[in-house]
Amino acid sequence: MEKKPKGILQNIVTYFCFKTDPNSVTKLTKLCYLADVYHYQMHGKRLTEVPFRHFRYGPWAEAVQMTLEELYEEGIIKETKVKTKKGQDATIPKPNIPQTEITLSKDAFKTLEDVIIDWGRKTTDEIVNYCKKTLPFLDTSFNEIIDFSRTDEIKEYARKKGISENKSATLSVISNKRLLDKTLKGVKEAQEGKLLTYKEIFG
Amino acid sequence: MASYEGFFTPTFKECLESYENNPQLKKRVQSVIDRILENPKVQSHLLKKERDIDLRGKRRRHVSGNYVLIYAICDECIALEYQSINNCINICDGKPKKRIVFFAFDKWNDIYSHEWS
Repeated sequence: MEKKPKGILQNIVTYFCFKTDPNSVTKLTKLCYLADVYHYQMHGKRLTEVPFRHFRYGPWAEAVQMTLEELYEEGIIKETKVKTKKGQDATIPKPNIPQTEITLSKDAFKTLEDVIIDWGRKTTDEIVNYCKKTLPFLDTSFNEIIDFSRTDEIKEYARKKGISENKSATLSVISNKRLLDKTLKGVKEAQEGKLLTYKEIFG
Repeated sequence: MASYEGFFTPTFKECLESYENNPQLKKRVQSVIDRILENPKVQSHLLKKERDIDLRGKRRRHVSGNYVLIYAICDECIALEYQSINNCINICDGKPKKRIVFFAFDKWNDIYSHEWS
């Protein structure tokens, strides 16, 4: 009988283990965190309900470690000992079977793919540094559970400044000169009737 | 089949082509645009006039990986009486149509800047 991960977190962790190499428990945890951040940005809700905490080395969730243990037990993922570039011993999670079936929604797959495209080949240090700059992490105190509702920078800025979300969104565009210049140029082109079709852009 | 028809400025095309070294990004943008053409107001904010810069009638939508799309929904633009501001002459006859004009797309580097004012 084919071994298959169960539940959303097992499916996510398994997918990342199959799709990213090299991996590490730290990198895997950060990828799971970024999956929640990316999904929140695109859909206004998280992919998982995993409680991530604000730790010194970025977001951390015991649940990811526990899920890995479950996947080791089930023989879907195995622990592999390797030497790091710095010469240290490390244990990395790798697939223990040639293939498996991942059960996730289409939107969830899209989110995981986006995370892998952006971060799959990055080093753990690069991912940790990025995670530590994400808004929900920055806005959570040390050891506290990260509040993903703070992922939306427009809402968060509006809340902090006591202004409307639309004003916050407008200020975010105006403060970014390059984006504003391109927007105004685009508006002028539309006013001149220079418009292209979907097919001309995406084929 | 999308509910709305999409139109794009040459600037939008240039913005997208400037990321040619990242073909996956084009797919991501296309996927978000497909979603916008189905349901244009979700996960976006209507822009305003601030500091003498008039962005009324346009919307801002975040794309994961710190990118931003700026677009206008034709029937919303007309309902809010902003057509004289956007004035997309070739596709607008003043009647509400199921059309969306995408003006620009770019990396938003100031994403975690807490001071925009």
